[in-house]
Amino acid sequence: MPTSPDVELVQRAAAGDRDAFAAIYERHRIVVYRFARLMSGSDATAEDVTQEVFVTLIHTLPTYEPQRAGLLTYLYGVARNVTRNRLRRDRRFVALDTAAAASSPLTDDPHDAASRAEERTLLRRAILALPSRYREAIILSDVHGLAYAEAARILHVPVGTVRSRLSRGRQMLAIRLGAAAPARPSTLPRIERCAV
Amino acid sequence: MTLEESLRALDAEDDARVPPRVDAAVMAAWDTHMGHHAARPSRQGFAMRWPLWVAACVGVVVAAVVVASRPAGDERPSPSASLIENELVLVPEVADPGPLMLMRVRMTRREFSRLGVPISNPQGDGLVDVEVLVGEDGVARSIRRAVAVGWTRPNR
Repeated sequence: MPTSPDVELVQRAAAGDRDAFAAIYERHRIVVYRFARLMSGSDATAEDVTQEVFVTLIHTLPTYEPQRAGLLTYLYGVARNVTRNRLRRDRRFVALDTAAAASSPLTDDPHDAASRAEERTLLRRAILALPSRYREAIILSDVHGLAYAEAARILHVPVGTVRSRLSRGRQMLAIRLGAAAPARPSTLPRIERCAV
Repeated sequence: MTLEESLRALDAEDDARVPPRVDAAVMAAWDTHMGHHAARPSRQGFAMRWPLWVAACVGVVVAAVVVASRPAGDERPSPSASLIENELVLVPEVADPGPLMLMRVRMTRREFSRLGVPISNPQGDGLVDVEVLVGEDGVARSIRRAVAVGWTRPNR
């Protein structure tokens, strides 16, 4: 995880350097966007959250203390709060689930591509169906690959709590995915190639 | 593929990109924020200018009082001439006003008419309370309101 370049960029941005802020945004926007997209299941919400996170950063740059938390940790924390507030506010609306129907990368084998896209869609839906405290732990640690300690700092909980939430979240995911594919409950369902 | 592997692959194979409109909105927010900060006068600069403001206000008021207290000879308002009846309100037409200060001064009708404001009986010795909108550079931008308040001496 980048740290020292971030500190320098933050210092320059806090002094009003536009290029430094643009570099910060360029480095971290996709992580924030994908986190919000997985948490909400909506492209539109992810866009709004990404924008709000970086606008918040603009306003808090003068008071941001790099020694308390790395910039990415800080951005994850803001993104988590913004996403939770947004989901709470939009609870009465029904998401169009645009993120779950994301396009799949092109491969040589269309059957394999269809199978992987189907897997991703099922997995995204299963993650989205988790309670938010398990969902955010799964996304931070298992999907984005953050260390437990880092996830604990973002979630403001002890490391042990992160471990237990991950354990419970994985169990719930396995159950949901197993229900979706009863023939192979321990792994994700795959679309097998057919002869006809 | 295990669940853990599938979760890791979910991020690795995610080809989602932030739309350009979000990029533009964020950088526009930066420009707006920085532009606002650059345009905001510093406290130190404001503090440094305060004595000038006070001196300017005092000067205007003193000048108005001195002019108003000068003997006007036989100059009297004509009986037929009407005052600004009670109040004259001028809407400021300032394109980009920026930060403005309201300054209240009292002056004679004569002085007031010299500012280019058409009033009845411009040579009269009545007094007018004027609210002037002044920019940060000390230049008056507009007259917000003018009220006729009386005479410098008994109007007989």
